[in-house]
Amino acid sequence: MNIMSQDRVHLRLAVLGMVFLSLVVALVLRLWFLQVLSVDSFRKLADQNFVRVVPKLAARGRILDRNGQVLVDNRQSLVVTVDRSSVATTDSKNKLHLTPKGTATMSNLAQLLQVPVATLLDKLQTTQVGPVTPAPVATDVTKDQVVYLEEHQDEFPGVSYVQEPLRDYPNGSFAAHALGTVGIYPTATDKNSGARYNGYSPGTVIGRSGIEYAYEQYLHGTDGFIKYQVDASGNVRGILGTQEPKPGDDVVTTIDKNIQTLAEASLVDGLSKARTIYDKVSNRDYVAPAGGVVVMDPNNGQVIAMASSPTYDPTQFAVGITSAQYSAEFQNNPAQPLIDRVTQAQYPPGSTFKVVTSAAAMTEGIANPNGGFACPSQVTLYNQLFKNWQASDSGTISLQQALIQSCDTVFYNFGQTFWQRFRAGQGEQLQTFARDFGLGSPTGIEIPGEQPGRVPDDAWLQKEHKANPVAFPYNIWLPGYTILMAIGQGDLLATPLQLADAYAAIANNGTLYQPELGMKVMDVSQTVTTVTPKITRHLPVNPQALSVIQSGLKGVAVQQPLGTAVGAFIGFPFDKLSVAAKTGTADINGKQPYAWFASYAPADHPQYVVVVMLEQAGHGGETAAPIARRILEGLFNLPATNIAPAARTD
Amino acid sequence: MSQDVSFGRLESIGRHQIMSGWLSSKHPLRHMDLSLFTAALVAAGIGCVAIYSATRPSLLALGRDPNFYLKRQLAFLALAMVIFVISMLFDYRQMKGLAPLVYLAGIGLLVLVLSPVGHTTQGAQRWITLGILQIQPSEIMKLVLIIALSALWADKGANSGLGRVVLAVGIAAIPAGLIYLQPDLGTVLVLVFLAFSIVLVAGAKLRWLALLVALGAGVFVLVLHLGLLHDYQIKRLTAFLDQSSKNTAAYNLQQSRTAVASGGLTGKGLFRGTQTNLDYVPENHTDFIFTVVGEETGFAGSILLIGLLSFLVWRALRIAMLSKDQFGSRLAAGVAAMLAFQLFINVGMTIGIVPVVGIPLPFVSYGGSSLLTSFCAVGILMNIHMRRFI
Repeated sequence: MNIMSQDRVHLRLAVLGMVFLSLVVALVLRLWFLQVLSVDSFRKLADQNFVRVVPKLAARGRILDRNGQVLVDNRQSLVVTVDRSSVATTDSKNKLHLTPKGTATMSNLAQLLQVPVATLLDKLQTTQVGPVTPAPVATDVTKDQVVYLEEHQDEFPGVSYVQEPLRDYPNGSFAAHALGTVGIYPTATDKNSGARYNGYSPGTVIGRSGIEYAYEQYLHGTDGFIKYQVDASGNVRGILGTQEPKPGDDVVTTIDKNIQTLAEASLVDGLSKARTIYDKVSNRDYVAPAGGVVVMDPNNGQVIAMASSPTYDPTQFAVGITSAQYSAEFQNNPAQPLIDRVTQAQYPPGSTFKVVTSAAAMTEGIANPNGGFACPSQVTLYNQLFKNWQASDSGTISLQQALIQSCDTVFYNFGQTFWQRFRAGQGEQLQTFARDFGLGSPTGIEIPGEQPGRVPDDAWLQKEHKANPVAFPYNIWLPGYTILMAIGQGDLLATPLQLADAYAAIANNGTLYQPELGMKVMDVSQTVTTVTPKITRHLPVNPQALSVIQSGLKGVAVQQPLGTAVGAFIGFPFDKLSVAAKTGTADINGKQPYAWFASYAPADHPQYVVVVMLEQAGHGGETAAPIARRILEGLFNLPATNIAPAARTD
Repeated sequence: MSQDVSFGRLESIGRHQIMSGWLSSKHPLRHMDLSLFTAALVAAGIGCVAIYSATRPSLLALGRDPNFYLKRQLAFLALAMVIFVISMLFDYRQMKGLAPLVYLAGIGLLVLVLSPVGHTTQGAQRWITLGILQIQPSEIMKLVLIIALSALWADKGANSGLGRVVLAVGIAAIPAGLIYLQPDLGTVLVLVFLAFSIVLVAGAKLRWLALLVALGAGVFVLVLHLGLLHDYQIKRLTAFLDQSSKNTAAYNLQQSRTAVASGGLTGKGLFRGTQTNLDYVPENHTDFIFTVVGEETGFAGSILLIGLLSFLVWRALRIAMLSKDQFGSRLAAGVAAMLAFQLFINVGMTIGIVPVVGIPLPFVSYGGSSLLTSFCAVGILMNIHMRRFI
């Protein structure tokens, strides 16, 4: 057929029509899939496209003392930042190497800001912000400097500025360890903190230690935001919504600014005085490099003051510390100022532990509360000689006198009995009492990093022997361990906070509180949330025993001539204020003695517990007691006396 | 001779029968397919609204006249009406003789585009500028090729041989090649499809058709292997094959798809398409105009528009069936194929089932040459339909 019949044409047209129909069906099916079945996921994608959320950072709450005085505040600061990728390359060890252009930029910047180039370069290496965020290199720059930067952008590629809220410490290094330091979120460790920083925007100021860390959730407000509508080029076309940030709550601490100031000054003064004392045993002056002071309210566990020396100024961390600075001042500083001697330093408590031994001995029936106890100058137990600190024989004395004179031999005997009971399978009773008084586990104070101390026992010895047979060659709990523990020596360790807590329990007739630094939290609308006192336990000590101990402690500072703290309290107005106290001196291998002093006043209705601990500063009555006296004078408005080293006693 | 028919006289002059009396039953004016014209006009109207919605926010943001593109499209539409009327006035069968001339003129324009006179935009030389007007010869070439190929076969005489098919391939290959050089891959594809459709309707034997398909596949593979595709064309192909790839082409594809899909069942509302209004979809007033319809009117509106254009294709096929002669059938089939493939490729590429090739959506996309060509094609369809009794 040469000519196509109509039918064949129609057939081919029909075929063509079928092809077109199938194309249209394909379109419809695909549209159905996209617009009906998958619409939700694509709607979300579409929204993400054009909405940009910019956070409005919330102001951080302030920290106030118990009377409302501002201890930590915020202020605005102009910070110059440098985008590191614009001026340098990073090698495999994450060290920056400046490009030639970068070198020129940094030297220009150094000239403008009038700081040495090396300082700026050091700040560039900061780890306080993530690697992509511009590094802050100079804080508190002047407005003129910023204006110059903006007007000469071509001289400073990669340099910009931000206005940042900075943590402000109007009192410098005041209560540094208690208040804590801040840093910028996020660093690598922050990311591993679980849900702690959920919803935080990069660049937020967060607490890294102390109250700043412990009360982070209150101090950090709620960030607000601005939702921008943005086109494909990133240009802002409009605002879709805003939410104002809610400032963080202010935290009122239990600290009293005046008492804290007094405690810090007294501690520093006392340490410097200690360094003037010559120790003939070690043939040099006391090193006295560090110490801690705690003032606590025994009726609720509130910490009125906690001082640690050496200290530091938290402002350094707030404005951004360089790694070189950090290495020099903190990491490689033998004084280790970041360590809080109140909660993070643990030492044998020495004779201050005798109150625990007394309580244990009386409650467990080893000692008769009204009995008499031999106090020779030495005893031989298990073929070993144990000496008293006094060379003379004191005859038979009461338990109160044993505390006043701090007679070691009385307590050695108690120790021997405790060991015999342990041997007879009646348990480690002395250790149990130590733990009841709170030793060997953290007190539970809110701030992080608290050390637990140690109450050594048979199980502990076994573990250490297995782990370290050279240092602990015997896995037998020898009598000497318990005997020495009875006077607070050996492997027994306590922090000054634990000791203060224990003495508070004695002062308040047997309630061991959980120490607290936070008193209340106040939000912007002045709504207050109070932190309630928490009781850890009631001491399983019978009241008669407690009363014997209390009356013993009352004589330590006042009973002439044998009270171990009498030398430090000469001329003290005991008619106005009765003071209960205990001295202590810890012996540590290879070091000069550590001085302890624990006290509370007034002795009958105690309002304050004062504990002082000095590293390598001699005897408790000699160097620690004078510091406590000065603080007690300040606490009760008594005339101030100079801190002066006193007689060397136990 | 003449014969009386109701309302007029039918006279034979030569081979043609000419109406006398314009109200006689066979007068062309009485056999217009008004639904065809209405559908085309409505589609063009939708296009104007979509163009306005797509361009207004960006123009406003730039501080320019928000009606800029709308006004121009309306002007083109007015011109298209004129072209439409003109293409109905003469008898389409007269184009048969003029076909070679028209073909050469088309080729000439294409050569002009590639010459220094041609106007380059975005790396493609597709336009010739005449004063303030830009014409795109490749658009015109589509109609020219339809006419030329349809005229290749006679109504009587030797028809189905291989010779004609080879000639058809040759006639199609020259403009295809020239357009490919611009480069404009999309139009080349449309030309290939419509050429094949016309050859099919012309009556070529099945085996030649199969050979043509094989030839087409072979050329495609050859082009890929010889690296004859431009970089951006390869990127578009890759983006289509792997829609999560990271190049700009894939990004555009994702944005387009997201825009259409986020319209949901009934769309976000007129002028409220966030994706298209905020420039997340590029070329959204030209090649990607469908995303505006998809985002703002949703599935309902999309189906409506596709339905409208499909209706046009159906009417064209119907006209092909009703045509008095086979020349008209081939013309109509060619137009149907042109519209159908452009619809499929354009919408398909915005929703990700066809790789991105830049071709406009007929009647809807912004652009004078496309609009004029489309209405001219509808005019020719109308022409065939009107004269199917004479």
